[in-house]
Amino acid sequence: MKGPIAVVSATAGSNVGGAESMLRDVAIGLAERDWNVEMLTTAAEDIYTWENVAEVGSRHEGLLKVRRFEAVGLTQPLRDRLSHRILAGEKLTMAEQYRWANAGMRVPGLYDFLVEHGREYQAIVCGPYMFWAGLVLADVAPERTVLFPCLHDEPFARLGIYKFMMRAVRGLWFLTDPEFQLASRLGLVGERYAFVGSAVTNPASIDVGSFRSRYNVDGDYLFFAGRREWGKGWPQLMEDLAFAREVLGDCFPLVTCGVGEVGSLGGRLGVRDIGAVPDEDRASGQAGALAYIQPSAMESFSRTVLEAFLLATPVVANWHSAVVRWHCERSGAGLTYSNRYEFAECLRLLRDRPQDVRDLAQNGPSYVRNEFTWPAVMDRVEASLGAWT
Amino acid sequence: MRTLLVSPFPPARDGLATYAAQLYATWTGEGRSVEVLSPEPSAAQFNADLKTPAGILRAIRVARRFDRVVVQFHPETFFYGMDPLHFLQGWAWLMAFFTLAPNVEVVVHETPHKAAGRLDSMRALLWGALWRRPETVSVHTEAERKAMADEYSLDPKKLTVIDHGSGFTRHSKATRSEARSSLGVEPGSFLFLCAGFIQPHKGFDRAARALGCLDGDDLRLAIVGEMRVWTPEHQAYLDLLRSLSESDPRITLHDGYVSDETFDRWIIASDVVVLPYRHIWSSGVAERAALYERPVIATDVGGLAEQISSSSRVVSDREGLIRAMAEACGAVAGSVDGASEPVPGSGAQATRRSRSSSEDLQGLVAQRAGILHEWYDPLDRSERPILDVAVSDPLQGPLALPAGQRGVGPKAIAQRVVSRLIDWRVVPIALYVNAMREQLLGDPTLSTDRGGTSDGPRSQAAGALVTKTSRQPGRRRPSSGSAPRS
Repeated sequence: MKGPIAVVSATAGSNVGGAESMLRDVAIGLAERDWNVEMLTTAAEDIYTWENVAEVGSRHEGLLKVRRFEAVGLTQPLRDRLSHRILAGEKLTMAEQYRWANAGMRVPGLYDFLVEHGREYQAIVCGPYMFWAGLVLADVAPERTVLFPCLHDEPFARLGIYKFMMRAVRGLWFLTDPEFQLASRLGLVGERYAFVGSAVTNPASIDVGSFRSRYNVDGDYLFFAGRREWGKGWPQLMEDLAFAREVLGDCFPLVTCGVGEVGSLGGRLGVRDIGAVPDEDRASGQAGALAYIQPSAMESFSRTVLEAFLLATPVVANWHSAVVRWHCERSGAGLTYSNRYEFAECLRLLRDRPQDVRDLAQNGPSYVRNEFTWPAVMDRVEASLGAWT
Repeated sequence: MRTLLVSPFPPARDGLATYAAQLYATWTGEGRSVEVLSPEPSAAQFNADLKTPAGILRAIRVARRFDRVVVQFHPETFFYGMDPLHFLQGWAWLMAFFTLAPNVEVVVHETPHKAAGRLDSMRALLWGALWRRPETVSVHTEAERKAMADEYSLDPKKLTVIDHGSGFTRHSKATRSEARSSLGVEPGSFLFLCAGFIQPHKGFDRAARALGCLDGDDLRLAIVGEMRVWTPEHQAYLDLLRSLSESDPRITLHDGYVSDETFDRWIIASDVVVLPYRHIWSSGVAERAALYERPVIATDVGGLAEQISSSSRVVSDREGLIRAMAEACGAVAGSVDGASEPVPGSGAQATRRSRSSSEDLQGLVAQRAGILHEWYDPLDRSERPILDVAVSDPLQGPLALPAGQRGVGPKAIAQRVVSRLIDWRVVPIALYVNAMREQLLGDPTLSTDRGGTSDGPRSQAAGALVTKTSRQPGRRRPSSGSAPRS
């Protein structure tokens, strides 16, 4: 058995972001390839509340040994105050930047564990870049840490602490070329880096009819799966949708699954929130949709867009996300919009010429299968682990 | 019964003043006892600056001599602006007036509403409280009545609908041929008319662009009006209309002072009055067109559809406007739906191999979006460079707030207190300034290349600060109080 490898993730819960989900998949993928893998994570299962739900301690879950530590929550006023200054463009001192990072969710028990046992691992994989543990690892085990930055363009990515962290660790794994380009522009790339990408898999089952009846969805609909929050472009999507309704009349309803508030405008627009749903239902919802909408400008990989591609569902995505634009342009399987007018016109195309748009989406499955499969990703992961550690 | 009419009043270049003058003439003609209080010195018996407490006090003193007070309401009469401070000031003075003046009746010509994105829930509450105070509140159309009742949570019974044109009188007795001759309009031409103050929301550019889609050398479009107030935006709009008129000899722009008589003469000379408004509550021009029995083509905004006569047309989009104008003059519409031209490879004969590529469809989206952009917001230049010349950084780097003071000395404590008090205002301003600087310089090191899909960077910048920071993970959970480890 190879290893051991530690995969450090903020949560192994159900209500997770794309980075946490991907880290778990990589951990399982390594375990399947005969690596001794241990997941180091928190007892929190919700990235909004960071409430410790799971039992602290170590246990086996399938192929993985999962060791959970207590998450300590935010120091909110300090965090907010410093966040405001960062977002306003102020250059904080390094001490202030660390104060800001430590005012977020942190895992003191994980720090103790890594100080004591960090050297026992051949490699420690961690991500995304804003997770507190990355800063810890850059201090206590930089020579064996490989970071998935999952970087996107935002003021926090320009903080000096992250520049130090990313250049200190053993290597960086990038998901896409636009992510690497951004990291290069910001001077975050050290000696070792690799494009390992990520992957999406065919859903276990697709049953659109069952999805429609279970969630009472009729007719053509648009679909969005993810967190309804500013960072994912949700409020702007609501405004764009309201404008499209003004232009086109009462066009397609939007069905959404995931977490976060739909908001008052969403309510007025009749957005259908089916809440957090099992992966199979999410995939069925995507498969049955007239189009999958990706409103986020801050993506490092955009797993849901690739899942829609794989299902040959047309994608209408925010042009301002360099990564999503990259996917759409290279695959030819999606349309992008850069303002509310283009958004409305994308929906007009869906209404007036649905077959043309569906034809585009036929380019999606081959794009995903050629570039974003787990065997290819795991080959690249193993190759760089072998070369670097 | 003695009535005080509170309204802008002639001599003034103001639609409301014209409206009030006609109302005054009608009422006095009926033998009623009416006097007028205007916000500016005018032909009215009284004047008082209704934006100030002194003016409101004077208005109250005057009003208390009358049995009934009729207020022709437009926000510009009572508010310096709609920023929070000026709004609250104006609201307080107006509330005092509505409370202390006797038997107040308000005729609402315009008020902020949700459709225009100018009403939040707190303001809706305050406006609602204001509208509950007068004896009656009147609007000109049923649509306005419904909108006010919904948005301000008012009892619909409190709101009455009055005919906008009930007091209107003719200012010109010219015949059509006399009017055309005096205005230089060829006798055999078909004249579309856009008349009124030059303002972006009037949408006269829509009519000019629609005319460009119609074939016919005998077609004319006259845009007649003046800038009521000068702002860079109004000037830019006038410049846009000028460039549109210069690009098509069939379009003439008559910008400048227009007397009431001349205004009416233009209506008499016209074949169809075009009101392609982007938003409006109700239109005095529509009433004047009806006075001279001229058909109207109007967009479906506010109460216009309800206001215009059955011989007129209501349209909801660019294609509708082009078709309505074509049908009115019997012209052939050239590229009515130019944006819907089939893309290469599409259509029934298209094979799978030659089906529309993503570039084709993406190009079509961009082309149509450009047209849509013009229809809704002709002056929005967010997608175009502000300057095409090299510019230097006016700030010599991003605007940054001073670093917080540490320590426990009185100076440090005082600075922290002041900082806490003003951050909520200062930080957004800093963000706005930095967003503008980024837009000006195209500085890629500041933030996302283009961060969002709104019309411009400002709304994104504001969103970045206000919304994002309020949604940091864990917001709903109070701090655990544990100390940082490192």
